[in-house]
Amino acid sequence: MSLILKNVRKVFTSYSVETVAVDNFDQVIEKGQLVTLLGPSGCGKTTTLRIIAGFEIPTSGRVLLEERDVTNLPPNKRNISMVFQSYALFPHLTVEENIAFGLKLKRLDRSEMRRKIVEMTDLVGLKGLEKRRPDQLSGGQQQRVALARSLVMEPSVLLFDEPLSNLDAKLRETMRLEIRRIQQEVNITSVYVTHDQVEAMSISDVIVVMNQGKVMQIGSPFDIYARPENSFVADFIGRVNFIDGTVESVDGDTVVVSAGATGNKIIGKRGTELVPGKPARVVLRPESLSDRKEERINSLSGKVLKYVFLGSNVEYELELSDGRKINAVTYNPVERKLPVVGRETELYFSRESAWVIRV
Amino acid sequence: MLVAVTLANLVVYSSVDEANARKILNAFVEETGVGVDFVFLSSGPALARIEAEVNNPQADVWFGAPLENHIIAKERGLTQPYKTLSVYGVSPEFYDVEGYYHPIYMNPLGIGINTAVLEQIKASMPVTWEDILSTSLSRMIQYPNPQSSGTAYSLITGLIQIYGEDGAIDYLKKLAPNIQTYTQSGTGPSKAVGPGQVAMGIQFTPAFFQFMEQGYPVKVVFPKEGVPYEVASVSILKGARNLTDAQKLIDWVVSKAGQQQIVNQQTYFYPIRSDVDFGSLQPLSTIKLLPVDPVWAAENKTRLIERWINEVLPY
Amino acid sequence: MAFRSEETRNRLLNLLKDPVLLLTIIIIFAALAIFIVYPIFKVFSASLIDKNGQFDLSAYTKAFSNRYMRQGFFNSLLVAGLTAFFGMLIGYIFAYTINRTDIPLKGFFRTVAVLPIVFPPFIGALSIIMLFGFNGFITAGIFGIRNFPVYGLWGLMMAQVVCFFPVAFITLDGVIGTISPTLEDAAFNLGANRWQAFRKVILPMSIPGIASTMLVLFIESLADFGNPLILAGSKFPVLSVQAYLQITGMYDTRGGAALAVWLLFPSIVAFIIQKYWVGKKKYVTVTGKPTTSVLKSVNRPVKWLLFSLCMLMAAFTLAIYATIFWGAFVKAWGMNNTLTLENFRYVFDVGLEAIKDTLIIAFTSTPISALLGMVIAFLLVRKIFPGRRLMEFTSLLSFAVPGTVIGIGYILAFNTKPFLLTGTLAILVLNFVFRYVPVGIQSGVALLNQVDPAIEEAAYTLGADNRQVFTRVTLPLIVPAFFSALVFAFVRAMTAISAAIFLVSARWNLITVQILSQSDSGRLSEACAFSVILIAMIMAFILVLKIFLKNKVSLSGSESMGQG
Ligand SMILES: Nc1ncnc2c1ncn2[C@@H]1O[C@H](COP(=O)(O)OP(=O)(O)O)[C@@H](O)[C@H]1O
Ligand SMILES: [Mg+2]
Repeated sequence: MSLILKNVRKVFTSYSVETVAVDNFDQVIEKGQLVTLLGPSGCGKTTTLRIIAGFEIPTSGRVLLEERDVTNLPPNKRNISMVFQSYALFPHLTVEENIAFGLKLKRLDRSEMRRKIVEMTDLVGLKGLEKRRPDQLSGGQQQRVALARSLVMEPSVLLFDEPLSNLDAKLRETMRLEIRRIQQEVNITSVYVTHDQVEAMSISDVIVVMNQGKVMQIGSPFDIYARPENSFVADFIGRVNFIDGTVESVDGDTVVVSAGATGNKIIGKRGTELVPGKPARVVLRPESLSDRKEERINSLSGKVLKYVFLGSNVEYELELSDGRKINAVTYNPVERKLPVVGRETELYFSRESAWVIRV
Repeated sequence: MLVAVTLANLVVYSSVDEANARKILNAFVEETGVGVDFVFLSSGPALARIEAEVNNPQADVWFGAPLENHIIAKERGLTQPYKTLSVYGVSPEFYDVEGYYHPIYMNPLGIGINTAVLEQIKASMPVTWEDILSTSLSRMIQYPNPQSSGTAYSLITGLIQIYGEDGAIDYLKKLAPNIQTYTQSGTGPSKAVGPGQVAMGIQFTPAFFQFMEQGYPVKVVFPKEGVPYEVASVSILKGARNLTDAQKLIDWVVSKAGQQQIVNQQTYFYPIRSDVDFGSLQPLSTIKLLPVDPVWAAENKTRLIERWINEVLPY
Repeated sequence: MAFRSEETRNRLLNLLKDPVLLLTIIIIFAALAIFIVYPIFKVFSASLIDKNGQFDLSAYTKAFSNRYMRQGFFNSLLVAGLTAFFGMLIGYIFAYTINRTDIPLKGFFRTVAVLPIVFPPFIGALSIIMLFGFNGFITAGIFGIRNFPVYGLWGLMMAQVVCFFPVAFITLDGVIGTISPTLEDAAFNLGANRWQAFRKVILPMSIPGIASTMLVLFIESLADFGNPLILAGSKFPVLSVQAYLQITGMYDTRGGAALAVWLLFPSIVAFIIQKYWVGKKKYVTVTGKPTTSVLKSVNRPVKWLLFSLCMLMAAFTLAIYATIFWGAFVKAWGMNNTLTLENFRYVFDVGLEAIKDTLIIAFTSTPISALLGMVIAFLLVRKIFPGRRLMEFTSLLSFAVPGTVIGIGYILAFNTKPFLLTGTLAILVLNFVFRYVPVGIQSGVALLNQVDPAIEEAAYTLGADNRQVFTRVTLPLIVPAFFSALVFAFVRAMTAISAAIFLVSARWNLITVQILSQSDSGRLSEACAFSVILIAMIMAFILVLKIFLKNKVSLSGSESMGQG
């Protein structure tokens, strides 16, 4: 066990207005894991991170690091490093000096320090830039320095606060792979904050989806995407169709939902507790819809409103008979034909892809 | 030897300007062999400081500052009496019979005139107080604010001896159009007269003589009607640590030898004894002095200054 | 409410875990209490308690009912307001022109704009009279004007603007220098013209700097007494002088203290307005991200207009110094222009001790003051602890109290046990340290508000404790503020008079006191010579500092600001 947040709550009071920034955050982060806090801006991600780092003092709850209560420990005594959105490099020091900063405080001997710096510049790919100052580096290079500076300390936990948001899209992609590579290489427990779901999906072991200070769901990227526990998560991650209806029957994992005005029956997988007769929501990813029946037991029919051809796939919008609109994606359009606007079309989906949750 | 930092030295708060204090005290040191440390403090700050330090006096002697201040110090219990034998031959209005303060020298008040400026504005040398009311001197005179310094207050009390109280206020009102500014410090006018930024200044005269010595085209006139004067005094502070040397200083400065040094050292101060050689100074006999009762002056100070502020200043 | 107390407990526990921080805070509080609050309290109690030890408000009612004093109050506000505005304006023009245009002679302007921080007391004001008086070289000599109102509002304001605009320049130079030109580029890209870019980008971003500058100038002007003593004249009473005169002319400490309290009021109001206004507008511009600097902020005519304005002010400033130098090298200032070195011989003869003492005192108090200023600025901006506002308030307080009152307060407070300090070097040093620490705090706070707090937080996560963060990160980042505080404290220690006059002693004497006594006894040229030596020593100090720091640190400026 590496990092534990126990019922952490943080309330800010400014001008006697109380903002609940973090509401009963409870999470165990295992050693070597990369856990991402994902959520819209203002949902309390940074605050959570700063509580872990020790920059904010929780209103209630505890923070435990390797079985030790660190709630009342100042940031510098926690052995936790942080990579900031703004990089926060020391502008008066060179790359090398930035990396050596923490080592010097540890009073490491010279040769040891040299060795670590060389190792680290190698690891993050900063060779040849050691003598430069931060303002002589590109954004990506600056973020590498920030990473190296934190990693070299061999902290128990490494925190990232939207580290890539100041970079351009292309660089963002390579950098996030880099971060993941390095994180796994040194096997360091990390908490990573982002509002970008793709970023979260691509690097995380575990994702914590947050909204308005509350944890909405905790799970692997697959679970978060395929098995959302509520509409917020389903909606926030990826694109989604919601089909609302009433529970007809529940049988183990299998649910039958009578959908909306059409009364169309959908056989789906149970995502939460469901009670027959009560409303339910079918979560259906656009790519789960197919124009081939094959093994799929559910179907929808409607008119094609419009489509967008994207090369590897085609996205299109369907209007059901009750007027609801559904998004669908089909892949490999070259092999399958393009849809025709205005044509009545039947789409099929499996029981597994119809994820039914409580509303 | 004036600078030595041995603890046994006599510590003097000097309200006599530094250069002159040096001259007088150097002469004292040479004649008596007493070591002296001194700090220059103008009379206001000196009194404030002595008062603040009353529980732990940092000095033995307050040297200089007009007699009126020493009366205040005496009343506030800041000083201690010492009856020196040297006072024989000194006119009694100059010293305290109880021995709390003793005279060092006296200064008549006069008009300092920058002759170059006077020529420039084509005005003539004044002889009387009335002469400086002339319109040709419009905005060409400075005198200090009586609130700020004893100097200008002496001017008011002196003029009262000549004109009576209402007459004096009336005179100052008539003088007001000729005033360039009322300076805040007692020696302010001389600083404008010297370098020629104003034609005349009214204040105690030593500074004018010093400007003359420095080579500035300055002359001094003592108006015929008479002039007030100040008596710079010296007191021993209560709790003085070096009482013996303090008393030696009093004995010396009031004595004939000490008074002769006031002249000989070119301080341009007037001795308070008539039995000394006046040298190049304009003989006292040609200056009409207007004695002012210091107790009366002190009692009426606040009231008269209020009158001045309300009745003269607005013009 | 239960969870609140848990947070408070956590907060306290955190503070206890950090003994260095806790100790620093406690020591600073104690020092502020002893060396700022206690002396002021002593003056207050002196003003409120009559001879018989009874509580008595008459000193206040008397001050309030006196029309002349009320006029003094309004005059003080008027001069302070005008000085704050014009001083800031001129400082801003200098700072903007130097940072945002490619005019020639930048080094010259930089020097001239900091020169008047060495404004010798009394002699500086006298040289204004020499320039603008009846036979003034500018009024009479150039324009033939004989009756320029040099005594009163105009003369006083001129002296104060010259005297204080360097403060504005130094602060604003730091502020404008750190506003990234890329922001202007962004504005141009969005279709703004130059004027709009200035008005919508540069100006709003310098508002905090402008506000704190005007606050400083306003308060300095209110408390200044050397200039009004010579230039105000009795027709234009100002309160600081009235307070001084009440104490030193009327021997009425109580009344003077009451006036000082009156003077304190607008200072504190100014301070609160500034807090309310500036506190809400923080701009983070130093992030460690690269900036490119291309000067295209103004067009040619505007550039040369700004250049001319700076030149005019520079000429005026230099005229004042030329007047002082001229006085120092002639036989009789304004009357006998025979050149001589006699004045300097006299100064070295009579004033050597005072020169030595002044240097010892300045060199002791200056580094302490500057460092303390940075530490307090760091605590105020970056730390949350109980009493933070109180610390801010008290540490800036001494700055708003007229020196005369502080001086009297020091004697009252430190003449008896347990703080027996009168007559020592310590009392002068402590007075200077605490009197001039607000300048360091102000510039430190202004600069720190522009530094991304994440930079310091990064240091914490790398294992640095508060002391290490301060010395290794904060201090290097606010080094311009540190050095301007250093220079400022040094200059003030060298030129101080109002409080110091009460604290000098037989063993410790000051050049400024010499200037006062020399000019009082007609030795204007000798006083000028003392002033020249004073100026020379301060310039030498600044020069040595510059060489010593290999020009990395601009004393007035921003070039070392984080970037290299
Ligand atoms: N120091 C603070 N004072 C008051 N409110 C704050 C403070 N810091 C954050 N908040 C508020 O707490 C909430 C969460 O903020 P934050 O953790 O920064 O969100 P995120 O990083 O997820 O965008 C927001 O509503 C924000 O306004
Ligand atoms: Mg955030």
